[in-house]
Amino acid sequence: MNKINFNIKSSITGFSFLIILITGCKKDYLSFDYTDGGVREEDVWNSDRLARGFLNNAYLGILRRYDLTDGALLAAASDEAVNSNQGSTINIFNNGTWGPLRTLDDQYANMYNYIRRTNLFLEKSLTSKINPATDIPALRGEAFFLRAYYHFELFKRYGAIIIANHSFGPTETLDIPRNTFDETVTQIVSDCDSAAAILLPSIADQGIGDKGRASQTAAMAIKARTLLYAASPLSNATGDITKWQKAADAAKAIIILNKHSLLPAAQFSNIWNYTSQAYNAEILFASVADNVNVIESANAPISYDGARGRTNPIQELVDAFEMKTTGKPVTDPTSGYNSNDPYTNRDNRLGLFIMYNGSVFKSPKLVETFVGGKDNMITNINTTKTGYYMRKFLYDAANWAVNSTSNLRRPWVHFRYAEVLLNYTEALNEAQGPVADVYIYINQVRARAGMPVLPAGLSKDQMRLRIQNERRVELCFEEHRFFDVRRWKKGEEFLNKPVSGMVITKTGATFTYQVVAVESRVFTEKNYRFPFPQSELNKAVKLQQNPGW
Amino acid sequence: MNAPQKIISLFLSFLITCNQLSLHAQGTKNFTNTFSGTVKDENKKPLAGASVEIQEKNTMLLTDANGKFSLIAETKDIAIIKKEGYLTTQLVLDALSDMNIELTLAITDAGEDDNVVIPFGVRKKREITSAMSSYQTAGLPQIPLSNLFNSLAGRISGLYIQQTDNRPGNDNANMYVRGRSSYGSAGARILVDGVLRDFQDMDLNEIESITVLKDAAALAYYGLSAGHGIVLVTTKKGSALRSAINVDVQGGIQQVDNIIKPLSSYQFANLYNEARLNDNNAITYDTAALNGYQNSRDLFKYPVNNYTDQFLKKNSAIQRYVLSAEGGNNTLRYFILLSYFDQQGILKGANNNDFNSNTGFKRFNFRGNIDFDVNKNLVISLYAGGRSENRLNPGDGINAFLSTLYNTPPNAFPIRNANGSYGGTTDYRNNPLGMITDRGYTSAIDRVLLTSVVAKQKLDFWLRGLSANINFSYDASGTYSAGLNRDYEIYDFNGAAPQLFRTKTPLGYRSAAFTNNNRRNELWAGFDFDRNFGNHSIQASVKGQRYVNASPERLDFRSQGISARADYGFRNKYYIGLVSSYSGSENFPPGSRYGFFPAASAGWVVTEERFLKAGNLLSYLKLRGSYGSAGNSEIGGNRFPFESFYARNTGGGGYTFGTGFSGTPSANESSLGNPLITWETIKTTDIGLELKLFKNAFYLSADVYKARRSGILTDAIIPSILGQTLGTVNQGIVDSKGIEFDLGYSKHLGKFNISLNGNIILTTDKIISQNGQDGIPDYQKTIGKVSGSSLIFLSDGLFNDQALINASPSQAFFGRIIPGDVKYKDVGSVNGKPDGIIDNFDRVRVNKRDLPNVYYGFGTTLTYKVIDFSTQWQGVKGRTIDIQGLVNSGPFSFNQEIYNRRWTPATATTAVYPRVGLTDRGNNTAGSDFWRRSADFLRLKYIEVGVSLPEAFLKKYHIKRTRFYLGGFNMLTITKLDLGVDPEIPGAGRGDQYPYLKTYSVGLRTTF
Repeated sequence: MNKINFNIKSSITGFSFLIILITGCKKDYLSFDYTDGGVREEDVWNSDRLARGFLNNAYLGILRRYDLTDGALLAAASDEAVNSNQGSTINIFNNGTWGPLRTLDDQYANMYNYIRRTNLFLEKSLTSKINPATDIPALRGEAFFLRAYYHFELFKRYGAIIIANHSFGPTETLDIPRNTFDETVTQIVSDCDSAAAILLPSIADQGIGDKGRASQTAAMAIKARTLLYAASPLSNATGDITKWQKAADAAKAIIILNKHSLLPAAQFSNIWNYTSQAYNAEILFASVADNVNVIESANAPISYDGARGRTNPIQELVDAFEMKTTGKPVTDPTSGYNSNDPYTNRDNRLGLFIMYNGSVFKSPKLVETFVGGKDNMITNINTTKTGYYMRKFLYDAANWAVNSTSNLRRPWVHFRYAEVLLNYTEALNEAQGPVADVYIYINQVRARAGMPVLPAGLSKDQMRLRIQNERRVELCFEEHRFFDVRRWKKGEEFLNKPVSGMVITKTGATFTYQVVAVESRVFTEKNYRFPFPQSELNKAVKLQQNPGW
Repeated sequence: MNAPQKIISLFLSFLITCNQLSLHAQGTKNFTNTFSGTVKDENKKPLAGASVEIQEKNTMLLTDANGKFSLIAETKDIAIIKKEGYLTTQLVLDALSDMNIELTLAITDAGEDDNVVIPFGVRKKREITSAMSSYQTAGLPQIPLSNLFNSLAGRISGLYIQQTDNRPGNDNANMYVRGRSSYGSAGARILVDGVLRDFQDMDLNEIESITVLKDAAALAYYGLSAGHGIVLVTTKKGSALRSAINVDVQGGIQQVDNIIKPLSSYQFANLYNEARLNDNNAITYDTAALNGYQNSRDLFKYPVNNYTDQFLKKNSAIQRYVLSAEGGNNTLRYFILLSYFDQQGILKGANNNDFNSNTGFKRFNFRGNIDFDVNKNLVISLYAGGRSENRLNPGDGINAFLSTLYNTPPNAFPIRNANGSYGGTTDYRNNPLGMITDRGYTSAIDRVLLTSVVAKQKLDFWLRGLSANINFSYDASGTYSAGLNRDYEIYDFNGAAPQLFRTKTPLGYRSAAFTNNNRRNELWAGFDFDRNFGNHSIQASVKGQRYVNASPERLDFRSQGISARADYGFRNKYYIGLVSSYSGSENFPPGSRYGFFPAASAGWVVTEERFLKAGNLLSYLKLRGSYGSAGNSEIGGNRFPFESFYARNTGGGGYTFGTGFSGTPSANESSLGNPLITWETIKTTDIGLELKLFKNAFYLSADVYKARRSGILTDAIIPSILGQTLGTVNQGIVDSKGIEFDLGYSKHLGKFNISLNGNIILTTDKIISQNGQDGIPDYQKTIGKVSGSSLIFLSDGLFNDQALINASPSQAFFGRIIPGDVKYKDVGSVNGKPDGIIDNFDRVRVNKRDLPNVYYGFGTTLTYKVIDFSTQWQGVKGRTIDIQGLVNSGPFSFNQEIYNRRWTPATATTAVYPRVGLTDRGNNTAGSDFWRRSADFLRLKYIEVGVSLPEAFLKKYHIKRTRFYLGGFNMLTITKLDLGVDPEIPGAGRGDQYPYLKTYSVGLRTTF
């Protein structure tokens, strides 16, 4: 009995001890230090490294545009190219199925996400522990630039938007109407001005470790393009000349600074190749430079190590390249164009930007796009649909073959000097007609390409067409055409008709050329602006859909 | 194969030695004698057919017509006397003869087989006042299946088991208790021996019983973790009342069924051309190519492949061996089990000199459950289970391999080129032969340890009936993954010049990793009180609980709380129960981490009343009802959602500046907290009835319930201009209700025993509140619809000619429309009225979903002398599936189903599916009722025929029982779905899913 009693006592003691353990050892078992997964707001702003890191992070929203979906460029959504994957979602822009529930590249939520980061930095950095504090104004300048850039990406898609010039709180009323178009423009311009006032003039002035940050000319470039868009017919229904003048002035201001230049013809293609010429003089602002070969493997002709030949330039774009000797469009009977030998004596840029039958890529290989040629095999679903492949952005040095791959550093160039010059000539021609400056600067662009100067005595309307064609050629595939056609209000003219390709038949050693329609295109009034995604409208009733959607 | 057999034989000899040792040990103390006696009932009448067993020995006999027995045993041996309907009696053999044993009649639902496991306790069925269904696994079929869930399908009322996968070792299933009452996740929580554990990979023979907790009175005990129902699984424990060694040997084959039917190269090329023409494009394959495919002339230029035939077997082997021993005496009771399970995959040709890459699953299970009476008042138990699982797969993974088989065009490339190299093209760089012979394999070994230490100290000297209890679990698991790796090159000889893709690499090791390391501890400790005072019985319990799930790679998951329960019974007639818990989770904001969940229930055995005394017709009638609440803290989303966090990366990962192109430090606001976040609450009312008729032969239990789930986490609807996600808010409400029946019939007719079971539940639910409905037309709102409803277009047949297209509302929304496309109905527009344009305003929300609203099961067990036969059926009703992806599967969505029933101008009147096309397919693949089909089915889940050898014959070999059986799983399915897909796992055998399998097995169980 004694033994049993002892056992009972000891086990009771044990039980009681355990129960005390359960109930009493910590104040709250469920509260524990969970900073493993993140840090608090104050930790960020009290750290020089993290506060600067916050701004670095805000750059991550800068878009890289080489692959919108399955290797497609936005060029395939415009009258520049078709995508070799005919089932690609990029085609929703072309086939009339684009809509609030079927969007691509809408960027709506994404841009506001990055705007919030810039706003948080602008609000908190002044009292942060960034060391030395004298760095703070310039860092804030970068944040202003980024805020302008992110607003601009929304503005060019949607037109008037909701301005987010402070970080919204979750309890704030967020279902608010859009700001007016003019307010949107003013906001972007004012952020650009704030940035330009404090930032270093250009990339060339930045330290080796800081190259690629926002600069004064980068901010001025956003401003110039924003004002150009605002002055254009889509948004300037009354044709207010002063808007054009403002756009011209903003572009001219960059030229006057004399911080940038056009790369010489021989280096032309290095603009997009940081491995050869990092942060070259033509670049005002570009995205981070990824070390990749996917641009080539997605777009090179199909016979090149299984490349997917995605972006196929259309005949209409090829036709936009003038004749080299005469400087005249191919449609001009006096231009010297020979439709049985269509690629001879053309603007040098045709060879630089587009691969046609007989082009050399990865010397000594020739591109064969005649029917049955190695780059035009109907059994390969990726084969070119137009008889052309894209050359711009593609480099012979990139390798994606199985046993030898090599990458190149490629940024997406958002703003380059040639565009600034073309922005200037376009705005100036609209504001003042074809004055001397118009000729000077458009001819600079042409001269670099080895093209003759424009004939003197063009009317304002003739000059407008030449400028528009120059933009189409010089800036092809760089996502300008998509927006240019829209802001010129020429969607119905260019985007609502079938696009063509070239069928080349080889008989013996001779080629015969025949232009055929390859894809029909639909463009209606509503397509001038992007539709807001329906999911957003369900949350933000006051936002109001863009007209027609 | 060799290793497990060795282990089993070792284990077997060990057990037999132990048994003999114990016999020997007892033999030295006592004397062998003949004992005899008479068994009588409560009216002193002799009872024939009562079994008399000697504890721990192989002796068992039945009393004769006069209730008499006579047996040889040793003095102090313990005899156990059992008779159905009577309480079991134990008796120490000391008198030699004329022992008079009186058995007491058990009252209905309170007999020895009427135990129901409740959280940390056991009640008799009669005492239960809440809605639970309990099932003893002894009745389950002995079919080798890697997942235990699947054995239970259709068997337990209110529990819906949906098989979702068939891969060896991954034949997963979902478990839903009483359907679905949330638009969030809804799987039931499974507790093994009282704590959260993985159950599906245990061996069937480890399991004693399964209890499903359904209403608030059953669930409130588990507070925050009870929101989607609880399944209590109890492992087998040793008993002093029985001792046996069981050996199960099973083998079987699994047969592939319902696999996608590919096209021949000729059919494919023709269909491709047709699709090109439909797209307004030139054809791809000219006459020469078509002839090439048709005549198989040049197989290198015109390849003809049938990948599924070439690389998949028709059936694969499966086997299972189980050895278990159970028994005990008055101080020590044990149950031990060892099992081995091997399931082979269906890949053909996966074995080569270097490795076998066939998918496969091997598992060892171990269990040792020991209860030890330290003294009269203290019982200490150790319940330990462990398992080791090995899953083998081809180097690219089984799903990638299957995807290649199903989705590569038959003419894509020759498997081997003329020079023996692997074929491939730029678009099809996976060669199926290369994938299984030249990509190595992966092996993932899971090791799991599940242990519980349980102690019960009686405190009768303080208060009679009081005891202190501790239940502490220590579970650990980890996965070790390793394997071999190699790569191959493929050549395309059909271009202008031979082209090479992929890089050949020699055989090497894959990087090994030890992952999923985690440890789970759960402690339940407190006091129980269990006492009868005359007509009153009181059973009460209060326990504290603490849980941690720790892993080195992440923060702990924790919960803690107090649960209490009090049950009162009067005259075995009236019962009242109160349950509550105060339970908390670290996932909620400080200060509001804990919730209180009370519930009350009552039961009334009407047949105990004088006015309705049990008779021949009505044997038993009980009414019960309950009301209360439970919570759900498993709300998904980020952890600590009440807190705003910043992420940082000081080592890089930020934007790249400068000519060095190295990442910069980065910091970012990662989430905005919702300080108001809390759990879901479910309030349930349940009324039930239990009925027995015809001398307990017929049994019926019926429940009606109604529940409201509120505070369902739903995405915060915040305009994007906030620039940050706000996580979720507690704003959803779903009402659900249902009725369920569980019935059974069992009867002995001489040597013929018949037993029938059936259960059915009819449920319905309705969303009362959900976020994000502003700006949506009424006919598209989820509110008022079932959870999981679909937003789809209403189709109106196919366009048979251009005239009809011209006369119909515009469908330009989808792109180019031509004859053979699906026609849709014009339902609404921005202003809600039809506008002649088909767009997203014409989608309508309909109450169609894949979860059924009626599910049922029924089964039979028939035995005649030595032969037994059982079946179990499972059925569902009200399940709708989207067959679009099933029909449009395969390369370019081409397969025999499409080929035979697509629209062409010639088949316009009979076509079932739209025309084919390669681009602009949005119109024909849009979610619409065109593609919805009822997936109701009734399935013969299992069937088993067994023969037991005569006992007299076996006795010579010291074998108690042996039974040989044939079984089948998923043998027969009755469904209207005629697509060659399985209604339960429609995706099986297409996409990248493992094919659907039927299992045939044979087995032998021997009991020593």
